[in-house]
Amino acid sequence: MKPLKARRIRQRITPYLLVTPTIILVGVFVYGVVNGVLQGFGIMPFLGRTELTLDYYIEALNRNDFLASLNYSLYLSLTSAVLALIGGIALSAALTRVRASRTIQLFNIQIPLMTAHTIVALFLVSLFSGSGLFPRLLYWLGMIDDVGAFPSIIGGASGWGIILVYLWKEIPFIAFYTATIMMHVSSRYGEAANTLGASSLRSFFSVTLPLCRGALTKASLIVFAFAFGSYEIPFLLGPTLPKALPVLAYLEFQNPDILNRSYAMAINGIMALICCIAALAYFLVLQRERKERKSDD
Amino acid sequence: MEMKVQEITVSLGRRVKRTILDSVSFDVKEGEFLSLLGASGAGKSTLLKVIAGITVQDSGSIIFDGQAIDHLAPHRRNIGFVFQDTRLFPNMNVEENVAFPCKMAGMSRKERMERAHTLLECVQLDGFGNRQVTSLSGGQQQRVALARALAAQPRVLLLDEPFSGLDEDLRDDMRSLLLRLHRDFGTTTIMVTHDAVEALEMSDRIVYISLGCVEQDGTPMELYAQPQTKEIAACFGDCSTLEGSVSDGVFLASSLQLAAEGMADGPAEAVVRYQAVSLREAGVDVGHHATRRPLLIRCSVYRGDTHLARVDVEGQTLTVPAEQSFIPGMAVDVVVDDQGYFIYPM
Repeated sequence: MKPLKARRIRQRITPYLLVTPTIILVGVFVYGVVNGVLQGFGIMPFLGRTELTLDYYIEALNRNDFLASLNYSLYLSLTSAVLALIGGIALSAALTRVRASRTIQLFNIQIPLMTAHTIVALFLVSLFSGSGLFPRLLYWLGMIDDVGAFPSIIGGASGWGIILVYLWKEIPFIAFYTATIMMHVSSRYGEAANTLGASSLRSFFSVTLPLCRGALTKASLIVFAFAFGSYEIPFLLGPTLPKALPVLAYLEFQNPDILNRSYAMAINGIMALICCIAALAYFLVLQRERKERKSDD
Repeated sequence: MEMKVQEITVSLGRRVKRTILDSVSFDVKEGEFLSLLGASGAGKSTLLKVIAGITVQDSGSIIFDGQAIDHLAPHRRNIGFVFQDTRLFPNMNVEENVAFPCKMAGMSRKERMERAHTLLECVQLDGFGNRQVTSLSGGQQQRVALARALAAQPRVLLLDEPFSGLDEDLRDDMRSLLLRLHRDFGTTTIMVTHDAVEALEMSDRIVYISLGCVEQDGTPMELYAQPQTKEIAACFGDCSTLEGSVSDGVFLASSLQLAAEGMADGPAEAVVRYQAVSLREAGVDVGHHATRRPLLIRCSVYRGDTHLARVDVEGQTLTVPAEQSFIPGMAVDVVVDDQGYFIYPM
C-alpha cells in the first residue's frame, strides 16, 4: 500500500477507534435501560412473558404506598434543591466577596464535596440520633427533659436527616458550579454597577445574580435529579413509611417473587421519566445560554 | 466640581508588593477635560479606579470640592465611569441600562425612563431603547455606556480608554460626540488614554504618568512643545532617538550636531521628530545644516504619501521623511529644525 493511501486510511479510522470505548459503555448502558423499560411493560422473555402490558404502571399509580413514596421523594428532592440553591448562592457570594484563596475554597467546597454521603450520614447519626451527642448535650444542659424528647431528625418522616446530608454536599456543589462564574460576573459587572451608584447588595441582586441564573438553574436541576434518584441515604436515614421511591423500587426488586420485578421496573420507569423532565429543562437552559452567547459574539 | 488628587500611593500584590502609583498629585478644575496619558502599565487605570473608589489607596487622598471622599464606597461618590469594554448589563435592554443609575438614585420609573430617553437622543441612539445590548455594534455600545455614565448627573465623569476597542473611523466620531457631550453637560471629565494624539485633540490639560509617577502636567501645547522627558517627547510618535554626548553646549552623535545650550557635559539622548528633519544632497550649499560631514543613506521605504529615508548615524538610525526615494549608500547632509528636537541627559 502506498504510504499516502495508508495515511489517509489511518486518518479516517482513528476517530472511530477513539470513540469505541465510549460506544461500548453507552451500549451496555442502553441495554440496561431498554431491558428495564421492557420489564416494566411486562416483557421478560426468560420467564416466557412476551406480551406488552401497562398493568404494572397502572398498578403503581393506583397504589397508595407508591403515591406516598412519590410525594415523599418529590418533597425530599425539591426541598434539598431549593435549600441547596439558597445555601449555594450564599456560599458562592461569600467566596466572591472575600475573593477566596485556594485554602478557603478547599475547606468550603472541596473537602465537603470529597466526603462520601454515607460518611456524612454516619456523622449525622452520631450527632442527632436519639442517643447522639446533640440530644445528650441538650439533656445535660437541662434544655430537654429526656434525650427522647429531642425532635426526630434521623428516621423521622420529616426527612430532615436526609435533607441535611444532601445539603452538606450539594451546597458546596452549587458553589463549586457557580463560584467561578459569579466571581467573573461580579468583578466585571458588579464593579460597573458600583460605579453607577449600586451598593454591593443591590449590585448583587440586580446584576450578579440574574447573570448567574443559568448556572444556578442547571446546578439545582442536577441536585434535584440526584436527590430524587438517590437510594442509599433515604435507605439509611429515611422513615419506615413513607419510603423514598428508590427505596420502594429496591425493595420491590428484591421481592422473592421474580414477577414483582416488573412492578419495580415500572417504578423505575416513572422515576426515569421525572429525571428526563429535569434533563430536558437542563437542556433548554443550556440552549438559551448558547443562544445568548452567540448573540454576544 | 473641582477635584484634587493628593499624594496617592498604591502598592499591589500579596507576597511581593509592587508600587503601582507613587505619590501622585494633580488638580482638576471645574468642568475641565483632563487626560491621563502614559504607556501601558504606567498606573493610569489604577489611578482612575482609586478616584472611583474601586481600588483603595495605601496613602494619599481624593478631594471633591474641598472634601476628602476616601471613606466613601464607590456607589456613594456620584461618579460616572465608562469602561474600555463598556460593561453594559446583558440582562437589561438599552433603556434599562441607561436608567440603571437613576434607579439606584431612587428616581421614579417615569422620571428615569424620560431621562434615559433624553440621553439616548443625546448619543444619537433614539429609538434603540428596547434593543438588547448584545445586538448593538461596538460604537453603539460605547454610546450607551456614555449615556449610562451621564444618567445620574455625576460630579465627575471617568473614562478608561473608552475608544481603544473601536475602529479608527468610529473613534473619530466618538471623540466628537464626547467633546460635544462635555460641552453640553459641562461635567468635569478625566480620561485615561495611551493615545497621545487623542489626548492632544480632546484635553484642556494632560497629566503624563510614567511608572506610577507624574512626569508632566500641562496643556496639550506645553507637553508637545516642551516635553520634560524623553518618554513624553517620544510618545507623540514619528521620531528618532539617538544616543550621543553633550560637550560645550552641543550634542554630538557621529557627525550630527545639535544645539544643547545650558546642558551639562556628558552622555545624552536626542529625540528628533521626523517632520523637523530634511535631507540635502551632500555638497549642495543650502545654508546651515546639522552635519559636520555627510551621512550615508542606509535604505529608503515607501509609505504612500511619502518616503522614509533611514540615515546611518554611527550604527543608529535617523529617519527622515522625503518626497523622493534615496539610493542606499548616497551621501546626504541633514538639516534639523530648532523646534523639532529635544535633548535629555542619560
